[in-house]
Amino acid sequence: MTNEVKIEHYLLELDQALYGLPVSQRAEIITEIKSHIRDSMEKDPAANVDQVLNKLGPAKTVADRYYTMKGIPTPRKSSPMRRLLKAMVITAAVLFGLIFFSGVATIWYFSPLIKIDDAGHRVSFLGGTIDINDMKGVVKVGSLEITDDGIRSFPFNGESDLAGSHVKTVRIPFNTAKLDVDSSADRALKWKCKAASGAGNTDVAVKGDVMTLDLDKLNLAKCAISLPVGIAAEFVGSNGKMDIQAANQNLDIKMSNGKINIHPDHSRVYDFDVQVKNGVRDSSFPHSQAKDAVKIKINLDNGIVKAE
Amino acid sequence: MQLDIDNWKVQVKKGYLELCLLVLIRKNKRMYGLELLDSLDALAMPVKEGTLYPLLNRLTDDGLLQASWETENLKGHPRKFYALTKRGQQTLTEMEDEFKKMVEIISHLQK
Repeated sequence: MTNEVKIEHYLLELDQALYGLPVSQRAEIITEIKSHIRDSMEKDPAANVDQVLNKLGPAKTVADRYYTMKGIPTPRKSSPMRRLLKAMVITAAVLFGLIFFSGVATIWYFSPLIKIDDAGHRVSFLGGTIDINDMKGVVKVGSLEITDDGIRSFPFNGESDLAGSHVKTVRIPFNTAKLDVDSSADRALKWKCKAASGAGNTDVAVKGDVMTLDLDKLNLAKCAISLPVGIAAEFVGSNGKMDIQAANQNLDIKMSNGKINIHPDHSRVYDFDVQVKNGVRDSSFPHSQAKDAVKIKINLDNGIVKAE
Repeated sequence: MQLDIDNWKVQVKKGYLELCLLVLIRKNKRMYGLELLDSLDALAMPVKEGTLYPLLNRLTDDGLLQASWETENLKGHPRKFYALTKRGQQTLTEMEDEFKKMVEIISHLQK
């Protein structure tokens, strides 16, 4: 640091410490102290600036003497910079506190994160926000309840004969639904749904070799779906309860929360791939390398997968 | 005991320093900070810079001193010179009278 820089630094500190005085008085004091420093340096050229500043004493002490002599209390907030710093520290502390407490509150609210009652056929997550109660036949997600007896007034029925068509896969997206799935005797896809609302927005479309039966916009749907023989089916949904009877075509099921019951056709060979991230699954899902094995792939985030 | 003496000296010097300062300024008509420091130093009354300047500031606020910025020569920098005001001269006379009384009392007691 050069002498000039050291002097300016000292004067800046003094100016900040004199915060409680009117600006004109501060300027007068700073100019006088600067003049003194120059006088001292001129008087003794051998003296270095550090010695001169040391003799003056710390800027804060000098400022305190001005306050004492003037009979005014030393202001606690000595400079706008310190006030800003203090405000920032307080804001950061308050924010940290808020985040911490909201985190604790969230964990408390959603605890226990996972509760599995194997004997009671019940799995619940996030403090019961998602509750799959197999005994009562209820799948609950937040305020939504999927039951066998819910209010489902909008019918949405139809069928599509896929005999001779080039459709190889039937894709069925759904949102919150109870789906009873079986296989029809022919190559027709049949569906019988009732929903609380949204039936008018549902459609069936074919794109390439995929037919989509879009149940995503049905609210609280209960559907009986017959899958065509020999055509693979994909189910993708958020919340649901699925019962799958005697599947004779490859299935690929992806669901976030819910329960899936499989009722296999015992005359057939199955190759299961069942993944449950959080929850329970039966251990009796067989694998097979046989060519004619029906492949059933299930990916469930939270819930129960059982074979009856 | 030593600490008490030091404290006593500090207390006595507080008023005494103001008196000496005012006498010095009257004698030289006008003086600036470093000049005053040097003069007091020569009189074996060393004062810290950090004490002198706030004191001069207060005496000016009280109306006993008046300050003016002056540059002595072309190369020099401005200095703040202090001189007694009328009120300062009157106050100084009162202070000197009071001080004389105090010295006389002590002298009388010591006889």
